Amino acid sequence: MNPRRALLAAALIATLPTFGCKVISAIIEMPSDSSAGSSRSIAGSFDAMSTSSGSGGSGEPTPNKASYQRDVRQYAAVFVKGTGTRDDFLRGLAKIAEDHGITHWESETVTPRAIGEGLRDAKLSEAQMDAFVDSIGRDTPAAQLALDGYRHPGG
Amino acid sequence: MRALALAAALAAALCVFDARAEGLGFVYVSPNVGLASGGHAALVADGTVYHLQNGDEGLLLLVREGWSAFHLVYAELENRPLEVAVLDVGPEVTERVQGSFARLYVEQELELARRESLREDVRWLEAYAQGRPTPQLRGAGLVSPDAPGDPDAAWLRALLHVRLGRDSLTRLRAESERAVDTLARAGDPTRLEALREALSLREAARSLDGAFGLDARAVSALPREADDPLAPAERAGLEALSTHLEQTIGELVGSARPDRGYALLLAQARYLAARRSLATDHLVLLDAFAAPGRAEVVPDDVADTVRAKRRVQAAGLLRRGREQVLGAALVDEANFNLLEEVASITARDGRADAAGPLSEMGLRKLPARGRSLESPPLAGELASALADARTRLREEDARLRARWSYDLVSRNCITELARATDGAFGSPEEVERALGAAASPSDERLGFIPFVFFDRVRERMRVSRVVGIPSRRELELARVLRESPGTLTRLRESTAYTSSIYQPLARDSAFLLFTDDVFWRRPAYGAVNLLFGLGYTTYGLAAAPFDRGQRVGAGLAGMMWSLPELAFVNVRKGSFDRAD
Repeated sequence: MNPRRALLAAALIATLPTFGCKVISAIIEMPSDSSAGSSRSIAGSFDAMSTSSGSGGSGEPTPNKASYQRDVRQYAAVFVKGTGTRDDFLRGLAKIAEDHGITHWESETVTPRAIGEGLRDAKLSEAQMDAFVDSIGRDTPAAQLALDGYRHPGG
Repeated sequence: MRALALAAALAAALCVFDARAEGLGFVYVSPNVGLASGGHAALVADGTVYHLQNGDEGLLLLVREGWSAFHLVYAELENRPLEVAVLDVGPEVTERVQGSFARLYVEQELELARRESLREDVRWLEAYAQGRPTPQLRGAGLVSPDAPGDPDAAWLRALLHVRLGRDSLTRLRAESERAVDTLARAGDPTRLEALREALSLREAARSLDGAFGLDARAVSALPREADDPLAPAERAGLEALSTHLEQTIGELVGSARPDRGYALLLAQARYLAARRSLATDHLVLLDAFAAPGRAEVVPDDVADTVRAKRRVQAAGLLRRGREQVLGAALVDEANFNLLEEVASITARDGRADAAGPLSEMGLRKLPARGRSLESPPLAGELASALADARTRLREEDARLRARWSYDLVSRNCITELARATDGAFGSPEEVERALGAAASPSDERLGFIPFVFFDRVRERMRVSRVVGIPSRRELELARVLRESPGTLTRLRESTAYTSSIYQPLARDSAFLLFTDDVFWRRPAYGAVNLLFGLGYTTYGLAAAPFDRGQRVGAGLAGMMWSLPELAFVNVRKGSFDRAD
């Protein structure tokens, strides 16, 4: 640690009780224009939309969709290790989807795919995955997408 | 000349990082006074910033936001220089680390949701026990039972009859009413969430079957300057949205999801808003910030010029959103929700702070205006059910505190950032292979301090380069000196009361001289600031009856933050109220 940093350390340790992690609500109370941050965040999402799929862009999913897929994948992996019911799973999934502005998550093709990836991460065996796919109807598009996610995670 | 070079270097640094926000890096945020005095650290991965903040009731929560919003808050408004240590890693490592943070986020969100559900249980049981109307259900206030037979809703009903069969809505209504009765009769206080879902579905079925119209209070009231008539491309976008929503509603009616009531109510309200937009040739959007339990913004004390500027910015953003979402017909749910959010901000004079902290992409608040619904009495012994529900809530609170509570040394924004990073890998060896070193080694006693953590990142991890990102004052100072070089300008800008860049704010503490851009003169400047703080405190004592001690507080804080300056250490930097 260089001397300047050491001095800073000494000064900060002297004021230890005051230097905890920032309180979330203070974002709003301190630099008063949090609206500007919100607007910039939304503007960033509009930018991402125009450079992603559906508008002659790169064909990549929007950051929001990529993040949704990542969250669902992690959720499935965490959930399958617990003792929750089917309804608990659906409620949790709905909560995660809503965080991404989605309520009709059944219509998102990334949803079953991400679930399949998550089940792979949770180390479900092929036999267990087959049983899962059978339970939702093996021939349905959702089952096929889940199976694809399981067999080709990240693909 | 020096100023020109500095400005060029600063601008270059900023552009370099903005252009390459892709990849993985650790961010160090310099300290400032108050709650920011310890510095802060974050992780940036492919343009998304992950950091932890001490939030809801002392819990340490993960925040995700876009790089530009993070930069705005920390480097511009809080005026804190940033440093980014960019790691030399491949995309698969970045993805893996993001996955680990996603896991942390998901775990937290679900546990918080579970507690919220238990809180709702207590509220509902209290209402049942006291014979009051049950609490509002989200989404139920988007449509109005006082406006049955709405022509657009009747058209939607006819369409559903054709697509799903004439008895589809009657069946849904009967099924949901049966579910409500069964759950109420069973009186199981652990199944109140299911009862709420059934009530919500029953309301959605009633609304579809009764062709309820849109509740006028569920709509954002756009000011005239943001209420342009629809362009032809926007009309086409709204037609596409209507078609998309017709399909969504059909699918949701046929779905087996027990919790689909809210989704159905929202889709129906959006459909009605889209049809009304087309009929009136003006955009009608649902208010994304109206929801049960969500407080309305309180008036702030900013100048009228700031208010006007916010309004202009919000109206501009809304125009842009209309063009990119409706004009380009990118009307999927997530995109359309962004447009609703912008309209909600615009309707509130450009203020978004009602929506709470930023989320990763936009605010992600869904329109959810609530309404209390008629509910059959809950069977069973309500007093003991309420006592049990309160016990369950207390236990869940305790579980949450045990797992996520903030601790200055052992569980803070640094320790959890490091743990989540290392948690992306299966073993310490794997971490070392991927990142060069662990982010949270056990041999660092002061590793919970942000700059100690960042020093370690620089020294031990596989860092390809470190990018310095200037604070707003640094950038502005370079610009001012470039435009008007000379000692007089420099002198003017060195004090808080003559600076053309900065305006003194009580929260920054009382001080006279900036010390963030000097080093050898810092102790002398600190001594001046100490004396200034003393004088300001004396003045504040006289003014205390009129300002409730605000100036005394600023003066005392000013003296305190002058002390590190005597030892060459700068913490105080000033801050800004708005982005220009």
